[in-house]
Amino acid sequence: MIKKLTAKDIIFIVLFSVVVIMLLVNQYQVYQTIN
Amino acid sequence: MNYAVGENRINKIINLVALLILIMALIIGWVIPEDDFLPFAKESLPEAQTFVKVASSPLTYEGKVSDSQGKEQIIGYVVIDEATGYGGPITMVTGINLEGKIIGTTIAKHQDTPSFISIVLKHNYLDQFVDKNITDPLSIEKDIDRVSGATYSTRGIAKAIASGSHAVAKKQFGLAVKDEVIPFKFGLKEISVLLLVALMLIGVIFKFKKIRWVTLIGGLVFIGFQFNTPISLANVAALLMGNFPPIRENLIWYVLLVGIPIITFIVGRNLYCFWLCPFGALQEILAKIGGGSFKCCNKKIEAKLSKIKYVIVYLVLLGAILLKSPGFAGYEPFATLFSMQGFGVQWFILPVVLFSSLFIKRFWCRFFCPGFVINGVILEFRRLLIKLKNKFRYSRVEEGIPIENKVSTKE
Repeated sequence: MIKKLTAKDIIFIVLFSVVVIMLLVNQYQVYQTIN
Repeated sequence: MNYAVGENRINKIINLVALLILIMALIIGWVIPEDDFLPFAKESLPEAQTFVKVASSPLTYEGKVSDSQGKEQIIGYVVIDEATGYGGPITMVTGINLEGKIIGTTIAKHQDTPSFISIVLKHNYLDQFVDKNITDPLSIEKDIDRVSGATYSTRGIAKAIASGSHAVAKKQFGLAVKDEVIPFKFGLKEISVLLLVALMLIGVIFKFKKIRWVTLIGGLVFIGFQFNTPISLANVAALLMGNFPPIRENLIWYVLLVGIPIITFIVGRNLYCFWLCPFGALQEILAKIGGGSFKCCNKKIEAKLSKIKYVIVYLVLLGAILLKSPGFAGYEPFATLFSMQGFGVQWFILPVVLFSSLFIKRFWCRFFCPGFVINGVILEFRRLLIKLKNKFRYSRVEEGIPIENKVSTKE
């Protein structure tokens, strides 16, 4: 599986992960504002 | 083959359990007992030593002080009432003195979008209500200035304070209050969005695909930048939690949240995302500029990642229901863009998504957008109904009952 990953795949996954992490942080910040 | 059947069954069980948890959360949200507003009452009428409940709809307290002989004296009233803001209801606690003037007001709780409430508080919006008469209509832009970027929230707050203070004026002061008749709001916003929906329908029915760019750019200008009213998951959460804003002032809310899903169900296609969505339009424009040809080479990875949005939407909806705050579900970056208001990490999500959209076509839509998920659920429900209808039809054929109406499965 890892062998099949290309540079493009990795860029794609990194971008995706960055957004997911930021969304998690965002939800945590919103949660803190609500409470 | 058996493995596939087994996996399918497990998926069905997971979906069912997820649905049951969501329904249970909704029920728990309705059953949870009411909050204690007395700490807020003290904030709104600080001189009062004790509070005695005198009415329950809306909840009203008499504020009293005791003199040196222990004799109690009324010094004012505190009324608690709520009205709908942008994402959900806002509960206001209003203190009133014996002269019939508002002396203070506080937000006791709200289910509105947190960023809008912080804008309201930042602009000291609540100070405008101090010294107003309890019979004043408290109309936005007549008696009270609205705060730009949080129109719905400011309107909801004013309405909650007005309805509470009017109730006190009538019941406790015996005053006649002429309730303001709210006119049916039909302005440029309503006309432009309805025109866009009409254009979209013409384009879909008569297959004028070029109209799609007109409606998309129109959506970007009017639904996006001009009026900042795109469909958000916060609206869907509000709908699920039974928070319906008055239709007289929120026609577009109903057109986009009720009308468009009905059209999607009838037509069997995701129309909002591809014909109206302002953020979708912006991403398509960016993809035209940047090429938008960057694709994940491994289709399996892409397919798996695109499913994560279902989990995100589910968890965020569940969180919004449990926290009793529809605003929690509004995780989309377009509110930051169209209102130029946001806080914390929201200012980082937006540029990353927009930058990615230059090279990856509809990056947000395909991997994160709840709009795709909601439309997917509507279309899946439609498919299920058609399947059931067909099943019923075939069972009638097997029983030898003639079929009068043909059922089309064409989408």
